[in-house]
Amino acid sequence: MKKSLPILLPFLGIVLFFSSCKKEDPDITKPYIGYLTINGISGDVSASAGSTLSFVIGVNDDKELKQVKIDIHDAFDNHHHSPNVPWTSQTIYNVSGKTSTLSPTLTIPANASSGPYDVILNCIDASGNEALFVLRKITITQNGQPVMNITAPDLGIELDYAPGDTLHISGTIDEDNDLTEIHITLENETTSLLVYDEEFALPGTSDVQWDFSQLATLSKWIILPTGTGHYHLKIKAVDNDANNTVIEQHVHVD
Amino acid sequence: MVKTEAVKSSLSIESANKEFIEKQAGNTFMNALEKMPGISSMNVGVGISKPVIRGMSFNRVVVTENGIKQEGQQWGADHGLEIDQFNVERVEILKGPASLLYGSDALGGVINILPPPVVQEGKMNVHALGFFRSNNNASGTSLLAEGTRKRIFFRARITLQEFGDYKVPADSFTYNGYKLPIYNQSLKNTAGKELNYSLSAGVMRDWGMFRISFTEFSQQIGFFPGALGIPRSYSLQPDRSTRNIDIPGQSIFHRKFMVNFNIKTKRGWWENDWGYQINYRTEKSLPHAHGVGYIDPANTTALGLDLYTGSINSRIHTIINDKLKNITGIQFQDMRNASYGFEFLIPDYVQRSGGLYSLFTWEKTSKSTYTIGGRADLSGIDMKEHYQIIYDINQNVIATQYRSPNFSTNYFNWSFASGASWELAHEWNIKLHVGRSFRIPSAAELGANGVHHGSFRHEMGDTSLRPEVGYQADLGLIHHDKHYIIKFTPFFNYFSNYLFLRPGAEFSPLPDAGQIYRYTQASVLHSGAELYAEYHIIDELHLEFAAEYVYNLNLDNYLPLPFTPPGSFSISPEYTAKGKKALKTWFISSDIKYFLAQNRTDRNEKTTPGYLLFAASAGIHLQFKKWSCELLVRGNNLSNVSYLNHLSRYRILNMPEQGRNFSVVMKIPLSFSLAGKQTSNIN
Repeated sequence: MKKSLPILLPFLGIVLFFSSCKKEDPDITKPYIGYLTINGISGDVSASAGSTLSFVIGVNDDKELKQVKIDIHDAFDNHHHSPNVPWTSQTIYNVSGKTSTLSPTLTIPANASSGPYDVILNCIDASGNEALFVLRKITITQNGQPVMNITAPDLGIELDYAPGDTLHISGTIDEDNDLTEIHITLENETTSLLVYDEEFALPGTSDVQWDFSQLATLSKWIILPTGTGHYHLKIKAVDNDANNTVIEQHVHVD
Repeated sequence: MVKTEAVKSSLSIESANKEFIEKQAGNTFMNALEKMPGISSMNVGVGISKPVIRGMSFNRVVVTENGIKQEGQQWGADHGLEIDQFNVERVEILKGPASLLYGSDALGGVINILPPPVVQEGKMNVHALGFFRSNNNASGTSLLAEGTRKRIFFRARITLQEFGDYKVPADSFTYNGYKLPIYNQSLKNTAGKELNYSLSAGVMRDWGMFRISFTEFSQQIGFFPGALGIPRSYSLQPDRSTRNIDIPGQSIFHRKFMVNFNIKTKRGWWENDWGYQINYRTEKSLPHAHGVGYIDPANTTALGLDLYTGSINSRIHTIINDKLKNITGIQFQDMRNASYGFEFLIPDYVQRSGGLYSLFTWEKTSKSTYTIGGRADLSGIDMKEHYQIIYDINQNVIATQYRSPNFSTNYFNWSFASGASWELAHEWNIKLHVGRSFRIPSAAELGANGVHHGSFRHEMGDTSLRPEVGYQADLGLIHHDKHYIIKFTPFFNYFSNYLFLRPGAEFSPLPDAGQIYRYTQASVLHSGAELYAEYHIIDELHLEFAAEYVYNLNLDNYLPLPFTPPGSFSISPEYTAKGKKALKTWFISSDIKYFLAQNRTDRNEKTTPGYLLFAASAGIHLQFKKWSCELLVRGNNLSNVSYLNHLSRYRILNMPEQGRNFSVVMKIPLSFSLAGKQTSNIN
């Protein structure tokens, strides 16, 4: 053991020397996205294809800001060969100083598929620290997208049902050209489990209407759970122009 | 196989055999080795793992099988090691730089898979192994037949396994402040399957030995959809099956042909390992999530990489006199890479490298041994420029992105190593190893420019990178007695031009990619130690203790390096005893391992809290007249603790690791004489 100490000591000495010679604290503080509005709204927004989106963005950093990126892409997973295409946009802006405000605008292409899109805003500082991003949803509308003509229940308001009830939907989904898919889901908002999940494919080439009475015809009734809970109803229709129309509402079972 | 007794005496080495690997019942070969101090693995869920030695990974760890260095795009964080864990009988792990004998990439260490021992003359063994794991309903089987007659030997193995989505003890995870669901505590699309086989045959004669081998590893495995891009609730909905392998995912084929021959010489022997290997990697992803421009929705091949590697290693062992031995050898390797798919990541390239080395071992006395050696390497790379063409829906070219340049260069470098081992009185052994090692930049480090699906970030190479050089000092203090052994192995390395991915102050113009991570170089300090102790309280009961810690510092910005394993310590008691009648032996053991929090992290890397894991195993070996059977039961993460693994790819999602997992392994070993009659039961 006596022989090993002289060998071991230089090791410890070198480690202590290097680990104690820090020049200054490195900048590891993340920048911060203070606010984001799209068309003046600080929540999710709706806009028509061909219109302009106006952003107002405020970012902060403890030392020096560097860049802001707006990344937009669709949040639907169906694609077809069609005149309309899902819009994707990546735009980077240089910023400086400790606080910066910018007001960029982006024009939605006239041929953007309708449907839900994600807007992801992020920011980095001059040292490469990345902020926590902000996610917003934009619903893009398009002429000729499927139209939901639901007569009952009123999906403009939250719905109340008793346990075990059947959620009867009356009305139609209308389309100027050809519907390709209807997808209805009911999700438990607490557990995120789907308690109803049905996709109806429309393989024809001129399906201009889908009637909700199909749910009864095909024995696909939306029967609510027998326990109480809070659910999220989502109805999505897709046409052959890759347009999506989505309608969503809360359903309370108590 | 490199016979490195002299070097072993000064380098820190761990070794494991088939029984050790089987006892761990790990999901992968690397998971089975993690129990050893200083060894960890970098995982993507279950089924993909790559080796980490003292915090070094990627191209800094060499894995060899039968002397041939495995080349499987190991620069990628999500690229696992393509080795069938059931086909490994003996492995030794060199901790610390070993470039002298193993070449440029062995800067962090070597995992040396040795050829299995040849079966006794006139015998044939047939082993059948079956296993089941509860967490992801994994099941598999591995069948082995091997034999020797008239000093001609053969061996054949096939391994099949399939597993479903794995379960974690959590109903949700929090990403960037958004809470996202984990349906049924099951990670969607993490199922996979593997089919591996190997064949080898050879001959032993008075002049030496000749063996030819072929192995194939094939794996298809899914990725949790939340791990590629920003996870969204709609992409995490259950897909009605826990066993399907959907998109995103990857498929790997790795084929190896190996020829090994040793020829006796007048004063030693001449050893040769020749190999040719093919690695096909396909990373699958839905095009719409990443496309700039239009990509056919039916095309899900985001990235395909075909790598062809030829290797020749040849060395002469010379016994100069009673005290002095020498190994002099050459190594040559030729690599060709071709890529395809709708995304671009690394360029097509050809890389050739050659090295010449010599190592002397001087056994001054029976208690003191000294080694000294040097090596020179020359390597050249030719990379092909790449333009990414962007199409519209009608297949018209709308843009061309310049991604990677035409580039060719040569690198020359040298290594040096010197070591000493002294055996002192009172059962003390002291080892010292100092040296200089180097590593040339890989093609990915020079030419990458694209979003890497596995790590989901824009990775960018730099053709001006220089080889990294490491100066190392390793120490080993070993004290042993009849009943115990204590090993303390501190290490100290200083690297100039250490290569790593640094998050830069610029965003990627590519979709969903965040900031650009550039391969950058810095001076780095890398140090730490392992402590291992084993104590036989009585013959049947022994206790193992292991502790490890890695400290590193980027001397340019005074931040730690990314993916540094946390410190840990473990206690493992084991009771092994002989049974009566048919019960030949039995054992019961436990592993209690505590991982410290990892608060020393690189920029934008998350810190990871500490955690405690419990595992336990029990096994029996039954011996009947004509046959025998071994049965093992193991439980990992017995307390079903929800913990984060700092080295996991899913760490950035705050995704907990695999929950409680029970494994059952049954093995039936049979032995025959080659006339066909069963002769005995074997272990």
